[in-house]
Amino acid sequence: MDRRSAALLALLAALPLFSGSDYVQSVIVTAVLFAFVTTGMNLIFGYAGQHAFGHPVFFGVGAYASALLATRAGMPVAAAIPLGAAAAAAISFCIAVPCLRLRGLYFGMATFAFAYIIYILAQSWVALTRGPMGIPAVPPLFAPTGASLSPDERFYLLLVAVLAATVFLLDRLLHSPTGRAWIAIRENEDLAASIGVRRFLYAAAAFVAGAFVSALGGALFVHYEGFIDPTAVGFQTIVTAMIMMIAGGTGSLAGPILGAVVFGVLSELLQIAGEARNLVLGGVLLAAVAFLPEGLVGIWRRLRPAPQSLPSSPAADESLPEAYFDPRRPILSLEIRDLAKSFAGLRALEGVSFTVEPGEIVAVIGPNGAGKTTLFNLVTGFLEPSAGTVRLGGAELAGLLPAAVAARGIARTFQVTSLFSGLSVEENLRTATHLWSLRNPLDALLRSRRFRAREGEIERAVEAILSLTELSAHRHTAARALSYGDQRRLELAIAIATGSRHLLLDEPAAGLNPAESNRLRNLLRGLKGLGFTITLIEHDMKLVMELCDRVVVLNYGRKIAEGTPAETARHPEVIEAYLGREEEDAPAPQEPFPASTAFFAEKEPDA
Amino acid sequence: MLELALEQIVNGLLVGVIYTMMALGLMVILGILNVINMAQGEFYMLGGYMSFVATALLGLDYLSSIAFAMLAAAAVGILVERVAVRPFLARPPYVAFLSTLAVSMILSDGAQLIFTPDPQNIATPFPLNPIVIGPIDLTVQNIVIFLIASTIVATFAAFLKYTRLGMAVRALAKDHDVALLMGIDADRIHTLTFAIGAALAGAAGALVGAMFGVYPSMGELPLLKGFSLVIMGGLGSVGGVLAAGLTLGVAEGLTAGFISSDLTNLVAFVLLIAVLLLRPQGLSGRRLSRG
Repeated sequence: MDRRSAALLALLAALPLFSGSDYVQSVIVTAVLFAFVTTGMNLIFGYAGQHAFGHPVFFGVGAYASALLATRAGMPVAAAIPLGAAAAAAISFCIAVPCLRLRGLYFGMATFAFAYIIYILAQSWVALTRGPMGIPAVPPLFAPTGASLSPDERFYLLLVAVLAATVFLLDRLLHSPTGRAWIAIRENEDLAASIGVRRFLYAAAAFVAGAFVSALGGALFVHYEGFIDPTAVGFQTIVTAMIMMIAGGTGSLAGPILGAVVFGVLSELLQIAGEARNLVLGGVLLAAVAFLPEGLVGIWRRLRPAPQSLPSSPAADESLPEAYFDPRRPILSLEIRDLAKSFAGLRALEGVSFTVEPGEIVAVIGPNGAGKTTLFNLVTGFLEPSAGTVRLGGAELAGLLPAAVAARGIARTFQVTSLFSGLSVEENLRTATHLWSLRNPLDALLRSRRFRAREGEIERAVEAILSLTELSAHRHTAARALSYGDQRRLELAIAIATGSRHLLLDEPAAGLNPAESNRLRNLLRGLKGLGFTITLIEHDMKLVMELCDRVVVLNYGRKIAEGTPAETARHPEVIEAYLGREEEDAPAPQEPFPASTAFFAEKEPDA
Repeated sequence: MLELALEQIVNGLLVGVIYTMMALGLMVILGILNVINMAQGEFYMLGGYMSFVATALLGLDYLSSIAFAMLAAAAVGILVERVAVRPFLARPPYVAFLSTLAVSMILSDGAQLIFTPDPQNIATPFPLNPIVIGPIDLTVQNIVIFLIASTIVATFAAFLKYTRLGMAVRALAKDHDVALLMGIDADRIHTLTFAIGAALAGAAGALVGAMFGVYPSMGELPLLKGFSLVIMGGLGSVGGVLAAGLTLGVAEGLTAGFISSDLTNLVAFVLLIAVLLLRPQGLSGRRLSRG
């Protein structure tokens, strides 16, 4: 657990010692209960980056579930609480499935609509919830005994203990492949898919895990309060929780707890505000988004110095660890047969066939708009082919989602630099090891021996790749702060870190100066030596000529030539495609690719 | 049986056109600013109250009061855009959601403090005795309201389709960056968009207010239903939203007539879930990613 959360929790545990009155105590209890809601919502909102606006509703759902189990089913309270939370988590899964078909704000709107459905049900399904009258006489968790601590005191200590355990476990989860995958889909969804992170699975996991945490708070709440009515799933509860989370600061464990505690007084303020409750709440919300862009923890973060980039320690062993070479992903030939793609009648690609054999470097070249990036998108699952097949060692790839293609052992880079730009270089690489990491969350929670061993291997691989791509000195730099050349190398490093040894590189040399371009050539040669198979789209003909075993030339969506660099350079159709017909006034030169220049300086706005 | 069905369908079409007005306002703001305007329901409420104020206090007739309501809502819309949206456009998109949510809460409580929570009625000059057309009873008021609502929707669609300004709005929705390169003044269009979106909601509130009265929380449900329609209608098509709006109105009418009037407010969300489940791509298939 990080220091901030630990300090906060210790403070919370000690708080009631200083408070005499029952009133103050109840304010503190409410604040700690809200800390469950904000912590739960933070998983999906702050970490996985999906704007689940309606998420705090699961607090009330858990409360209702536990109350019903205890009053209707006569279950002991100690069993009703976890079961109630589990029931709420199950409901949250049913809501996540349709909602996650949408993205961004639309996803947020859908979760909000679902929260409203739940509110209507709580109001009007009178047979179950007793409607607006609510459920009275919910039994408490602790009966009064002769012990020195009152039931309320015992309840409070339990509350802080459960919160501490939750934060402890979440911290372990966040520092594991699961947490890294959440952050990956937040930072860059397309890149996350290309390193094998399945958005739906991980977003749903964050949604449900968060709902469980929220609902646990709700279930504890209802046995403290002894009563529940539809306001627990209502608009004000949701907005209060949202304010607390945003004002505390998303994307850290301490922020939402801090927000819940500091803004816990809000609910008291609202009692005083009476009729103008929403006016006050709205004003606080507006002030929070305007003046606390990073939340309260942002202030803390600003006071703390940034980590220094240390000179790279000479690693004892810079070879890639064994786990990296996943035997389930052998290097196979990539066969593309009659691949075609039309966009609403426009034929971007038509009947393209070629094969990339293990260990080769193959270039795909062609004028702008020839269909090169479309080809990559088809192979990697970002587009679905209109016709044709893509096989890796005989297994069909066409029709698979990008993350599934990545899992078969193909990694790609994008034409426009694509990184997890808010993360450090090191974190980018660690995240990219997703496919060969130990992803079972149980291993992460228990920090099992094999989990620790695999994480150790990941660290070694990160080290090896940092030094291979000469990025060690920038390990702590945020990706967005790197120079352009370093960013392009980081992209390549991410592709390498996936463990895929079939790389599809989309214009890796675009925009590089001659020195950087040379560095790239040496790096790619080195990768070939390590057994990587590389297909690249490239306009830098010097690089293509010097590096590639074979060249495939596309024009207007068709393959017009294939062969060694020298063969294709002499091919009449290729010369025509690049330089126009001979009849036209410019005389065709002998050699279409001047040896020393990048042929096309500008970027290709691809189909 | 059949008579009830016909009656509910006709009523449903009336309600549906008004839902469409709400949804179109949300859609145009979402499409151009990438902002879910949570204050849209309060623009609707404001329209209702402005129509009430105009008829009861300023002595305007009902038809002029609708224009007054639209202008007042547009003015407040412009103010909201300046104060609570424009400063946050550079931040992540959820920030403007929260800021407009805050505005919505402030406006609805403000209305409650000024006008009290009790419903107010807008006086209209139209006779309330029904005209019987075959099996259907219609009031003159409902017919007039339907015609006004349809005219406003048609005018909005024509504006988007045929005017230069409408074209600029569509260009901005299609590709923000390229539109800027073409010399479109984004700030001006943003202001205009909010004004139009608010005016649509304000008109809807004035029309519905005449039928069912006005009260501070009247905008909550139309807002949420408007959201559902924007998603169901295919995110960005006027025709799609209109089709979804009319379907919703009729489905609600039939639910109220044949199942239970308690369940009408769930219909929108049930339809939404159905659409989400049956159209696996989601309805937003604009992104590159299929992950």
